[in-house]
Amino acid sequence: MKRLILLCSAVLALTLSGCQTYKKIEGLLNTATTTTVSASTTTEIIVDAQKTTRIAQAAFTEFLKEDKRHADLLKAHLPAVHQFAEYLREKVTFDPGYGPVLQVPRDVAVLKQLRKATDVFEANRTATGEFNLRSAIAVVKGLLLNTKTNLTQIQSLNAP
Amino acid sequence: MSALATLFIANLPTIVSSVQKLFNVPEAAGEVAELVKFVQDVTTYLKQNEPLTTTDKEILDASIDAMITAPEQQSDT
Repeated sequence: MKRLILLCSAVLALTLSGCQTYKKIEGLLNTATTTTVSASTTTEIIVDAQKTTRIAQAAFTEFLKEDKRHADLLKAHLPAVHQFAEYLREKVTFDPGYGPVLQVPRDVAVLKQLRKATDVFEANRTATGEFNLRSAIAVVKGLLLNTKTNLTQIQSLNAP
Repeated sequence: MSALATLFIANLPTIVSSVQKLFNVPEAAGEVAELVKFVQDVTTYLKQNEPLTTTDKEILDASIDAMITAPEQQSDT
């Protein structure tokens, strides 16, 4: 009987301890998803996101126009530049969060994803929203850097 | 201004100039004008220091949507 009481006490202690641990994790997750970001940081991130979107939209468009205009020359002398242009043009899936899933060029998809993440963060200002937005910014900045590198490659063709 | 943006804008005049020379575009005035406008637009965007207005956001979204059907977005395949 004494053993049974000890066993029951141990099980009860473990269960309560488990519940408390679960509550701690739940609390942390709630904090992570609901913690608001300070107003100045919020504005800074939103401005960075919008600025990146506008610059990237102009840069992708200009780069792809240059590639189309001089496709034969680039295919012959800088095939990697043309391949990068084709990579940007490749159709990928984008879920706008409403209506049907879309098949759009990759550059459009990443810009739309960034716009979506910006709007969500602007509305809820949570840590999760900030994380998603920073991730979307990083993706677009990566492609922007590649676009710049490829434009510089075009420049190298003209180097003496 | 982020380091990446600074790097990008710092190289733009050289890139535009090189593209002009490379493709011998003095005759193609339209293309030069377009490249100059591109540099001007990016310079303007870099000066943004507060969130866009609703109207500006609508213009941005419309310009992204317009990319989908633009000729330059059409792949070789």
